[in-house]
Amino acid sequence: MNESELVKECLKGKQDSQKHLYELYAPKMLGVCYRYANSHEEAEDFLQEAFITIFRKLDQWKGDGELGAWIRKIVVNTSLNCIKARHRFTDHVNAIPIEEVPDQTILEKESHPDELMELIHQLPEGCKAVFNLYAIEGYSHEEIGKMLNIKPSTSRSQYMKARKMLMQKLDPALKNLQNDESYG
Amino acid sequence: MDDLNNKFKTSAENFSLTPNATVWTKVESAIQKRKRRRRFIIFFLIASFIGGSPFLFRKKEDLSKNENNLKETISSQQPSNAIINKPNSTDIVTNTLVENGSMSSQVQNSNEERQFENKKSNNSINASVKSNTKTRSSLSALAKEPRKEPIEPEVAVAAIETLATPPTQSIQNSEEPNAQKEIAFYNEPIKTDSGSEMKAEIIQEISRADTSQLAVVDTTKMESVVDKKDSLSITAKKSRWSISLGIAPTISHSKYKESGDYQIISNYRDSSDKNILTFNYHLQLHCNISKKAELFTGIGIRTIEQELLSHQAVYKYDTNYVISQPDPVVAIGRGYSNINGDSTGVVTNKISYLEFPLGIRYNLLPAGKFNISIDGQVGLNKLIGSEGYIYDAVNLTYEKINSADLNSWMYSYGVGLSLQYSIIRGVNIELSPSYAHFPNSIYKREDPLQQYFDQTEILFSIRYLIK
Repeated sequence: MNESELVKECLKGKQDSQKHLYELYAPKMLGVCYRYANSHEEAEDFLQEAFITIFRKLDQWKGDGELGAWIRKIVVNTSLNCIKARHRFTDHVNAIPIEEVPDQTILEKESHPDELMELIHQLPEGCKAVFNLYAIEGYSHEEIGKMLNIKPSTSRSQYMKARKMLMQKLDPALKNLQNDESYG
Repeated sequence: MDDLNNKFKTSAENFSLTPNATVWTKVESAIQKRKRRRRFIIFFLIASFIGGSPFLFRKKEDLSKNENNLKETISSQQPSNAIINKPNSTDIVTNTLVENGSMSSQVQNSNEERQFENKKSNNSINASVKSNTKTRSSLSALAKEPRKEPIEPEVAVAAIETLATPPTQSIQNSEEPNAQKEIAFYNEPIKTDSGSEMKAEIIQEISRADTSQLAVVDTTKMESVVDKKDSLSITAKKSRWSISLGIAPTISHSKYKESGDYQIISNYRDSSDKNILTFNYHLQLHCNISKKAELFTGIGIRTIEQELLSHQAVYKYDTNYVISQPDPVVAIGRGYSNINGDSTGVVTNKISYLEFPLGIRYNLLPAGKFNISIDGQVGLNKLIGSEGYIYDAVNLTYEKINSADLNSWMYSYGVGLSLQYSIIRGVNIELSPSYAHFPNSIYKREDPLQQYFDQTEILFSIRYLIK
């Protein structure tokens, strides 16, 4: 059953098809939610809200694009809305000195995906969302500014802050990973 | 910088987590709940239609069954007070002219006039107007047909002359065995020798008209519908559909118009009819069509209630013969009758409509907990109930209002303002003043006066936002 057929079945209200669609995309989408959330439980809350929205708006998917991309967009927007609803965003910029650390040795090292995602997950709320949207989802700072109701300049600052923090954390994380492998 | 981003991006693409099984359970539950809500909305719409259908398709009342009510004369309740002043020929002609718009009918009506006078001379006529509990004698044989013969100028002149001629015949004591008790004619006979005296008498009569003594006229009430409703959907709860229920204290306003070529000199009804505060009820379904706009429809009950003094008078002249108020005035007077003997009572007319509104609302502050919106709406109103009396200008009697006398359907349009406040998540309270106009006359026939109305209401409602 291709995506279009699956969606049609879901629109007819068939529960097994709906569950199939959920099982198909839920794990990856939970990963997306996890990057924005503060905890696994919160990520599951985001996922739940997102899939309710997805099933409610499923008739709006025209079939002209990839279903996964459409679902991912809803998941990201839902996550952002959930975060915004909790009033966690401010337009305040911490005056953190931004330094570029082009450490090629770090970038060349292999790192476990879970470890990298965990690093993102540990970022402070504001810069986590900005980093996710800019570096992973590919939005511009202007777009991010509109999505999060902040200035583009704030988005840039938060991104640089996130990047700096990730750079600082990346090396020890890799070391730990290597230690685990050596013991394994 | 791009390398770092790509590294994280690639990692993110391959990253997945296994959700807890309870997540799907909750999602599934929400989907089912939504289905149930959708079913409820469909059920609500169907139930509204079915619930309203008896009113929509109700058969008109059987005229034969209601004959007693249709042509109703008033039974005697206060004989001592019911001294009937026999109408003079002036009154008769006058009424004939006014009611039928036909001078020629004057001649044709001569026999009817006598009958009418005889009936009146039957002494007392007390109108027991209390709705269903009175004794009423039926006026079965008074079916009439509007006369449509063209007015002959000679007849018109004769009639006008008649108006200025003092009555010579007294029927005070004339009795007729079969005379039915009839409505008392309040107006004193106007005895004048000339047109100018006639004018003076009419003016006097008008000024003398004590509101405590007037005759009843047909009345009606009306309703208005207004609907309003909603929003706050963005802030309080993101909802596309919502449902509201409210009650609206309402004041109706009536206006009267005369069809045909008459110029009204004085119309007492405008000042003596008293509108009573009524309550309208509205159950509405709203659908957001954009961030700021929403459509609404539903079902409601509108009521018009009027208290009529026991005497009403309209004086006018026929513009077929004079294009402006003549001097001296040769006025065609219409004296409405007293329906309750002592001329001091009032009657209450009440008319109810089932309303089907359709409107659009524009929210000025959709993102706040407090919202202000403006709306416009049109409505279809089905007559579902009528109580009271209507003046039969042909037979000079008062009849009980029958649904056949009234327009079954009325359309309306109006505007409103609404103030909304979200008291808890998903629940708004609303205060919505509005105005609705009904462009059609409530009466089917043109005589007596056509009556138009509008309503101003303040709707207090509560709205539930359906997630």
